[in-house]
Amino acid sequence: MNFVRTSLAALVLLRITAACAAQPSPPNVIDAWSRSTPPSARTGVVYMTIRNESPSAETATSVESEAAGRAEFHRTTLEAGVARMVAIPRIEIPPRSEVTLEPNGLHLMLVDLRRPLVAGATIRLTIRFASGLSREVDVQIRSSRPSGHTTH
Amino acid sequence: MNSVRRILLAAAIGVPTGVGGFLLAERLLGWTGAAGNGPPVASRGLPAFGGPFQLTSHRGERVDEKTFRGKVQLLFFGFTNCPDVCPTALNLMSELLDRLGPDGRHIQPLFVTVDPDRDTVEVLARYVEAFHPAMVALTGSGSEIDAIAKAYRVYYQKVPSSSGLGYVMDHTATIYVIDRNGAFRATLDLHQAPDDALNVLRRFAVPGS
Repeated sequence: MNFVRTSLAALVLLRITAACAAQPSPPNVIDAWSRSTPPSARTGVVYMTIRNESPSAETATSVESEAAGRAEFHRTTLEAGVARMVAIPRIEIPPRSEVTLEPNGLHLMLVDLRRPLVAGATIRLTIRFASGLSREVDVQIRSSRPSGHTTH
Repeated sequence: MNSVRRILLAAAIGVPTGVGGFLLAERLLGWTGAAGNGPPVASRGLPAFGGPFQLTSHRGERVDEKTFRGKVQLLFFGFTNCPDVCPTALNLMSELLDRLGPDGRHIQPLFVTVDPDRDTVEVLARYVEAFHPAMVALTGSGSEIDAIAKAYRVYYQKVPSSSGLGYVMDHTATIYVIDRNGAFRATLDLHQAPDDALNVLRRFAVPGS
């Protein structure tokens, strides 16, 4: 009995040690969402929070998606009432912190959508990081209308 | 005092600051809940805002500045390839209409493209109704878009982009509230909470209020 207990404890300890010594894991992505798009829309948008729990900075360098020909990081600025959109080649996430992509700020733009984004569906992205790690993300497509109406 | 008012109003309109700008204008001009029945801004000797225009709707109809009189207009300038700001604004306009309930029928949401080269009648027709069935999208020739942008002091500029889009548009991203007589009344800011925007709009949405 004692032997079993000791073995179990050792096993648990081993698992914990293994977890600590494991290869660094890519940043986590939380609450990735997109908006449904009109039939003629060529672009879509994805918002998310990228959380880097590691002690070193990570940099998201590129994104691929089955849903679009290209995916690019952009930043919207609103100054003196004028909106400008600038391509951001990469997004750095400092150690143990997070970066949020949200409306009227940083966002991922999908260009040349293969088909309209439909509320309720999901699309898959792969985010690649400078460390060579990558993270697969499932993006929830929400209705473009906050009240949830669809008009088709 | 009159010149001070003019300068401050020009500042409020020229650099729209959302509810702040609206409150400033409201305080200076005494705009209140009864403003919907008041005289148009121009009759107070204030800077004209808005003016004649001719455009084509997404249904292919020619429209001008008189077409939407009788309704409170929510006017936004943008382009359909804009993934972030424009859908955010059009969603806000749609949400406001929905939340006004039956009073929403007194509101006419308008989306004017600043990218008429790409936003043809056909493109707009397959774009705008996804936001709200009452929304009307407007396009025109380059000079027609110039004319309405000038009338509403809207800045827009084609900017080359390394993105797959080739170019994007910088543009004023403020929602203008135009009263039933065609007079500018307020701006709605995209950073503003929908509840605040709704309160601004309620002042103008109900006839006789």
